[in-house]
Amino acid sequence: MAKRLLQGNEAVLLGAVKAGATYFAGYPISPSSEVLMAASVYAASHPELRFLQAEDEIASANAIIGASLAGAKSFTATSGPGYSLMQEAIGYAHKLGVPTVFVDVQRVGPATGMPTMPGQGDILQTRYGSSGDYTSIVFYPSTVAECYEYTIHAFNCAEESRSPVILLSDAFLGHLNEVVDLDAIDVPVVPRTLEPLASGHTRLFSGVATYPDGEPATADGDEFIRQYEEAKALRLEVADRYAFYEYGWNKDADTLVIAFGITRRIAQPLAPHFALFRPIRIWPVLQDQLREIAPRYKRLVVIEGSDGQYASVVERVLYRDVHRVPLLGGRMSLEAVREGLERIGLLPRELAQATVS
Amino acid sequence: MTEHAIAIDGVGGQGVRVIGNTMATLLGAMGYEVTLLYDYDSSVRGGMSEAFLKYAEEPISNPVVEHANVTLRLADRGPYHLDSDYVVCDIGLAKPGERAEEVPFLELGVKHFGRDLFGNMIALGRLLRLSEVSFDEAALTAALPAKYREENIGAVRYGYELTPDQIRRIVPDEAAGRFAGRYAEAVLAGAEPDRAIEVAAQHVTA
Repeated sequence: MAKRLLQGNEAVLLGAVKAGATYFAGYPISPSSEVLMAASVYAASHPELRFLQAEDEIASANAIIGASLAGAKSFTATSGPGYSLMQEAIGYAHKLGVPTVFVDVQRVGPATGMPTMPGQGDILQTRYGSSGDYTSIVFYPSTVAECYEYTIHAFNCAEESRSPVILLSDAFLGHLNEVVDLDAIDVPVVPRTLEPLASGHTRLFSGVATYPDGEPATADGDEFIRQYEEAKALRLEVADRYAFYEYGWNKDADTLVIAFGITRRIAQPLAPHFALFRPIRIWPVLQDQLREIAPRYKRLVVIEGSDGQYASVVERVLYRDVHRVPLLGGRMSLEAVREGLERIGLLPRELAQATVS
Repeated sequence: MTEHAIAIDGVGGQGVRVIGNTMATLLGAMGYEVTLLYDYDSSVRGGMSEAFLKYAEEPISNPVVEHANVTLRLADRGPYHLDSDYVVCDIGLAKPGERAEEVPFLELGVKHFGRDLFGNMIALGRLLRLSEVSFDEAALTAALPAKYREENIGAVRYGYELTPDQIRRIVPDEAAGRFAGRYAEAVLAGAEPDRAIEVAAQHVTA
């Protein structure tokens, strides 16, 4: 296939198809709607992909869980408000160990917020949005080609970890068109692992704590801990195989910039003056990599489209202060980055004098 | 590496996406690396709609345009931080102090191709000329939808071949036409001739 102009949201759909997805359920919400639209159009001519426009995001989330239990590789796509509605279902999927993929194309929140301005305020929600303890695996690409690539990884990781995996995007990345050659991206596909409902085994798909035979275990702490630790160990072990990140720019600089998603792209003109760490696997946090790389730098700066959500995570992991450049209100621009760096006294003189081209 | 930055500023329903997508596809077919970023608010029609287009020989990192080589302004709703070396816009949209030209694209679309929608393609042609992108008919043909392809190519060519001298002559003609229309409306509404002239003059950019 020749190079072609492709949108980030459409690349997600094509990545899902490449990964073997056979079921999509969703409810339109900008800036994720093109995933749903592309799935609808694709399904019209490819009946192997079943498409459901559900009545809301809660139904969509539960539909893809049901489809996965019935044997389908399934996924949905939404944005912040819809993703909030899906949290109960995500907890349910974690409890049951259901491989499926949730795509969250972030916009400025909370609530309806600023449709459709870009934001990155769902970082913590992807880790802690549902109740109880569970181990989230979350990826965040930053190019259209990566939207395709990491959607495949998300499906693979879901199969291997037996868990709902989150693919983060944002309004700018979702609506970004780039010239890509998808044939140049070769990611082997992990086959389905979960037996379908009709496989002949007795299965009880309950959110309640149960023993393996289906009897309630609501008062057995030992059994709960055994199952929890088993699931956690599997997900952490699998996540280790998906520890994607980028480390580059000027590694000899004395300040390390941490940025991800579209923010990393916008911050590119900083390259001569800073080192860069870009986590692609957002959760579990890349603790080992951060602990190895960060000590080489006098200062750390997290540039992100939230008021320090990921910065707080880095501080917790490294036990040291982190400078923050929050890009709020949809102001995802180099100008906003420069203003933020100037505010904390870290804007290089050359950048202060340069034009913003 | 020379990176070219284009901004298209308009409101939903004006064709910002059609122009942006056609130009990006065209540039991609010509072998350029391209990023095309859409930024819009939740109103489908009438809300802010922007397209940020960059193209270069090498891959582009930051797709957000904050300083455009050329901005095509179909409406003045763009981000406050955007500045441009040159602005091409419809009548009445140039701002004081800008290096800009005003072209009645929609009226030219009606006049020469029968529909205002072809004004978008005339604007695209002018944008290609100002961006110093060569007119590649084969690549353009591939970038356009089959429907109205011939008319669209004709409109792009018309816009591409417009000269500054022609534009200078078009604008007074169109402005005069609008002045006459406004004057007639005012008279029909009961205004005395002197008052009708004042009303009509308020709507015409010199």
